[in-house]
Amino acid sequence: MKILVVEDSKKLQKSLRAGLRRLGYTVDVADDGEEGTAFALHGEYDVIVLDLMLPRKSGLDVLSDIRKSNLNTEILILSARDQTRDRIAGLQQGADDYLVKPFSFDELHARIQALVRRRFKQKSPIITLGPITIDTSLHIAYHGAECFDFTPNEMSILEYLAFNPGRVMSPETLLNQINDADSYSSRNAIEVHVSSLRKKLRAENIDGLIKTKRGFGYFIE
Amino acid sequence: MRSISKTITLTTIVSVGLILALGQIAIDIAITRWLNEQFDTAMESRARALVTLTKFDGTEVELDFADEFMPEFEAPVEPQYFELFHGDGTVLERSHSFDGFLDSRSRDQPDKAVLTEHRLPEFRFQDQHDEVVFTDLRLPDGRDGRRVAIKFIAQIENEDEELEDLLEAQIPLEERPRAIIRFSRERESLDQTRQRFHLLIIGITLIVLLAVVISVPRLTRAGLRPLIRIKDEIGKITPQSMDRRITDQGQPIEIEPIAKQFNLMLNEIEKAFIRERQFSSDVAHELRTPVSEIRSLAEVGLRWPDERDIRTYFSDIHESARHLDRLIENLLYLCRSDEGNIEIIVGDVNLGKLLDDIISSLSAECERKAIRIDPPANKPPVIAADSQWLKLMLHNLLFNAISHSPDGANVGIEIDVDGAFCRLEIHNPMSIPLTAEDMENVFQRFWRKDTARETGRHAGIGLSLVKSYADLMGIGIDAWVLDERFHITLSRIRISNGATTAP
Repeated sequence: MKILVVEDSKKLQKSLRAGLRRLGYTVDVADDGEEGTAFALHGEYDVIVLDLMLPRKSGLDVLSDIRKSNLNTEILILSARDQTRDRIAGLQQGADDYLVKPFSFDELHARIQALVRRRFKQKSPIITLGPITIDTSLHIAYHGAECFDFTPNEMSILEYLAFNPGRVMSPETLLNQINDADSYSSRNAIEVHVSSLRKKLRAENIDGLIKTKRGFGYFIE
Repeated sequence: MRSISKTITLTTIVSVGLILALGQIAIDIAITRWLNEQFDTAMESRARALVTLTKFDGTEVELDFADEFMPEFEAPVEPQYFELFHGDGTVLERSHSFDGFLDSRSRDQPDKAVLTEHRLPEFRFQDQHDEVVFTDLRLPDGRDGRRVAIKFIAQIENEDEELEDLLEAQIPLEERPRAIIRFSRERESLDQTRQRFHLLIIGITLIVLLAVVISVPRLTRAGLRPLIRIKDEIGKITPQSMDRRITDQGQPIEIEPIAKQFNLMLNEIEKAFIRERQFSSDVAHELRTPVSEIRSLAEVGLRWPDERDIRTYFSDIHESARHLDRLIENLLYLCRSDEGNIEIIVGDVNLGKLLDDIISSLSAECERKAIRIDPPANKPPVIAADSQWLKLMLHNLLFNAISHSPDGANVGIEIDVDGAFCRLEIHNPMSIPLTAEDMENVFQRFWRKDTARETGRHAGIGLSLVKSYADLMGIGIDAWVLDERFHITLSRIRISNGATTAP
């Protein structure tokens, strides 16, 4: 899953980026409202964590621009403004959730997970794909009692495909899930990750879970 | 709890009752007097009619009385009485109404017993004028009565007109025979009339009091209705609807100015409420940001202690904690200043050394932005001030100057001595230009030109704190923009006695 954090506090940027990356998310960070808008409109994020008091452009303006462009990215406002009128304004302008600072990192994570599930119309954090079970809250996959040893990138690709069953995901789309603004991976990287995933699944006698539609991409039925 | 309605009702009832009681007494006295006068006048007229019938023919006094013309003196039921006496008190004539109450001898003869029982009044008059005396008595028939006694000079009258003229001429007035007429009648009719008047007045008083008791509360409520409406309107004003006002148009002239004044007061309360709410909101916001930084860094650091740059987490947490500390300290200073809970201890302060210390403490900030602080060209004097608060003020001013200057800028300090006072000015180029409107707000709490902290971590209370302390210490403070530099001046800083420059 790919998350954009629009926050002017360098310290919060640092901790959020580190924590969310360690939880398996691909994280981009924007320092101000202008940058946040530009990232949001071009980055294909699943969730945007948005501060309200931002340099150059307020968080509400960023929110408004995102909604005007018909992006249906889930947006969580993370603000020190705790007044009811602030929450109402944020939610009425199109935010999906509102969390007041100071916050618990675990709570933020739980809310992000809830937003991801909502985005993919998935009520439960547990997704069952034939013989394997994926716990999207813990970012792990099981086969019976055995836990797969997937890398974060492999897990991200598997989760994304699992969240979109029956839909063919292009390598570019999957690449976007694992690439943040500071990193670059080629199309081949996706092929390598998918190949590794299939290999680890085959080791557990699971074959054909991830299918290829030649010339288009990958999908799970 | 006191009630205006009850107070007005009670006061009105007591007042009206008192007025009615006094009026009743006065009317009663007046009417009684008038009735008595009317009664007595009628009695006297009646008695004088008898007087006119009393004649002196030159030899004796006689009463020319005919019962048929005055039947009331012989009526068997509720009769009236008269007695005619000689001047010496012997009976000359009595009305037949006495019959049955006197023996036959007494009927025609002077009756000493009657005189004793019905003693003649002590007439004072000795001259030719009539004298009239009224008394209350019990009539022979047992009824309460009133009697008028008139002592008079019997008029001369003789069938022989010549003799009559002769007698008139020959007998001087003082030698003519005196007579006394006593006319008595019942007075129960008078008493009954008086009683009826009493009852009438008491009845009217009670009716009026009853009307007051019924009508005053209603009238009071009607009179207080605008106030009750205002009370209801005020009751609807809550912290969530501070913009509501009470109706001041169309109110009675007594209420309208109160309503207007109340609305003016509400305006001020609303402003204060908004300021207070904004202050609380700003304080909460400013405190939450560093707390959330500390908490987030700590939680992530504790969960993943193997994070590559974990050591920087500690310095970040430390920096946020320092910012929080400074913020809380400034807020506390601001609160204490608002409460007037600041002790100003004026002593000698070496301004030069104080500035050096402050500049030294800000060296890290200067280094980070490559800012140069130019010390004052003049040697700073020793001043009379509170060193603690002055240090706080100057630290805030210089910290502000560094924060709001572009990287690589220079911050200037000027000091001018003028007699017993000196002036200190700090100026710096602005990373974000301030407008004239901005200059009106620079001393406002939590006001920030850059709401999103582009120029660093500022809560927007530094200058308001400096102004607050300057006011407390009697130091003037002013800010303006000149040649794209922000200037702030502390003036009227008192120089220490006997020293104009630092040692």
